[in-house]
Amino acid sequence: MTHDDDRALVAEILAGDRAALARLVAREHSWLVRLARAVVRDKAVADEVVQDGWVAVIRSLGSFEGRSSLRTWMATIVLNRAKTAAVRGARTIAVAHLGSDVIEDEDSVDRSRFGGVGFWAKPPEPWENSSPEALLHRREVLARVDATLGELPDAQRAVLTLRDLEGWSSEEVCNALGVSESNQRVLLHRARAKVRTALEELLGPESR
Amino acid sequence: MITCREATELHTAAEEGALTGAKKVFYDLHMKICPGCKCYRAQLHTTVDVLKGLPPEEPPADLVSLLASELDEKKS
Ligand SMILES: [Zn+2]
Repeated sequence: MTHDDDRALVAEILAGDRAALARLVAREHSWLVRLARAVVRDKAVADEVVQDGWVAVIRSLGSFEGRSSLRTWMATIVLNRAKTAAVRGARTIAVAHLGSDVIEDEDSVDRSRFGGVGFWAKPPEPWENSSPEALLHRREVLARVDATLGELPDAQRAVLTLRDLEGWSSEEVCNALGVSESNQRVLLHRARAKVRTALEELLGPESR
Repeated sequence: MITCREATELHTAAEEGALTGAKKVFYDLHMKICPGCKCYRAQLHTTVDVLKGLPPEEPPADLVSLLASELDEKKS
């Protein structure tokens, strides 16, 4: 998606093209909801943030200049709303410093799984019937993934959501969240590792 | 050489093309010979595929008309 495409779409919407507006909503709604939920947590409040955010986006559409991508611009608007909502709800959130969070040491795999020199003592074992398609049809898998996403720290959840659930590029995520390329990578890896561990608890040998 | 514990921290960086020099050489070599790490990496891929397969959030049915009326108001 180039900024020119974004500018063209915005021009169509401002000219009153309702189909263009519907296209924008279809294209961008899902990540707005997921990002808001990642940083606000309360589902009802997050949905309110998204609705208010959409109205704010539409109202200020005339001032979109295409210097950043539409997504980066929209993320700024919605994250600001999320911050305000979080302050109202007395939840201190990391939105303000998604990008400046200190990256602390954290293991992707519990140390007890490795021997003294760092090679596998308890290596992972292949999961049975574990094609992604099959897993996506199992209710307990979806529930576990959902619960794990809910337990991730804000910044990890925001990055994982945009990269993997929404399929954004790392550049898009860095711009929208204001995180550096290397921090983005660490946050993404830790989040993925936690979801893997959760799936292992469900699918690994010890669950059988 | 790198250990399995080190390798588990590098899979995403490797995939994003962020490993260079000796680190990349050692990582690639480790991944050729270590079944445990191959299995771990395959499970990470499965995890990502599951995440990518989750259905998107659908907009509420009345959102487009709400926003359209917002636009109309702004114009008038
Ligand atoms: Zn290994």
